[in-house]
Amino acid sequence: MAAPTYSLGKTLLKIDNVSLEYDGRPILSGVTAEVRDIIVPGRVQGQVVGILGPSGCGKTTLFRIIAGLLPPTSGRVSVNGFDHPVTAGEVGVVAQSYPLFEHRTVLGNLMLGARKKEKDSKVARDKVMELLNEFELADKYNLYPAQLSGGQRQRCAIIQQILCSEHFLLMDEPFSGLDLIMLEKTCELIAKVSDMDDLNTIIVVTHDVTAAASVADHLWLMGHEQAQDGSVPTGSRIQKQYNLIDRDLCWQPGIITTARFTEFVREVKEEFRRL
Amino acid sequence: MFDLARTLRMGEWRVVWEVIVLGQIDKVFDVLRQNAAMGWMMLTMVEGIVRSEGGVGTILLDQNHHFRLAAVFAIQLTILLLGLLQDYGIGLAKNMMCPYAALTLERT
Repeated sequence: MAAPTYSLGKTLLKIDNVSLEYDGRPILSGVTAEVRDIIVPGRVQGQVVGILGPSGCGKTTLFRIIAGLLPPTSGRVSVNGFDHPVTAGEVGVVAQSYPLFEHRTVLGNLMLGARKKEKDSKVARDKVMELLNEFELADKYNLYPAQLSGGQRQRCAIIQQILCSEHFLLMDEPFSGLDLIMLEKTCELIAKVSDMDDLNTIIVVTHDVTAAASVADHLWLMGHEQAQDGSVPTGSRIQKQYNLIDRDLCWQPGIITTARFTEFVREVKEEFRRL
Repeated sequence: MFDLARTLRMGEWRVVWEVIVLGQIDKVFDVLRQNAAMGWMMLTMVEGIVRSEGGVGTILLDQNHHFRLAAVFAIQLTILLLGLLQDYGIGLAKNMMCPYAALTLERT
């Protein structure tokens, strides 16, 4: 089967030679990557990037740097025109536990996000209700986060960040601890959010190779470079990038049941083990 | 929660208000209940030590000293009832001000 027709547009997010040290110990060394706008004729197509890597390789640290929550020791991450390093709030963040303010209702939580971009409270509320409808949470607007199920809470956290950020959404381990059905639903949700706008870019940080490959159009594999004696002289960086569009492995329902997808996952896992 | 507040572009004072004040106020009520209970114990003990100031602790020890057990029990029961009432009142205030604190998914 031929790979779908697409072209790459402008750069949306740029990670430029980012390094981070703690007490002189390198955590990240020279991480460089970029996300470009994927243009598919005749349809709205967002971007989904999966960041993969073994535990302790600095995925969450890179996640915090991209989110603007942690300044790197050197290098910079930039979005939206690249005239300044990313600041907290430009990139939406959905942490693993889907944090929400427990003392606010769903509507209250979402209004916090909406009012940052829309000063008119009625317009902000309309936007919130529209998204609640879109994500099948319209009847939950008056509930507190403690009354939501895990899936509802996840959707609410995503909406909150969509409302506040500029087309970017970072998700930390969204597949962790989910059963098969919830895993599929989360993948569908990620695809849905990315396809809401051409510029929507979702970066998923995970160690679940299969789930990441099933939802992403690009995969970045992070890890340390090991010396011959097994020591780790430098920090982690992106060791390999996979373009799943060129491999004709994305935007297809049921792709995970195909032999070529299984072969690709096996290839990534092999690489994973070497890191 | 601090990271969440920062990603929602809150200023420093707004972070303090949302995360530290509003975000923790339900726990403040719990601590208040525990401290009120300890307060009664400390009140009777300290007043018993510093007798010149009088107070319920002094009365309690005086009655005990004169072996008036009925009065001792009456004072203790009064303290107990006042303590329970106070605890109920604080709990009620917590439920009114923080209705979310007692909620779980199972109760919906």
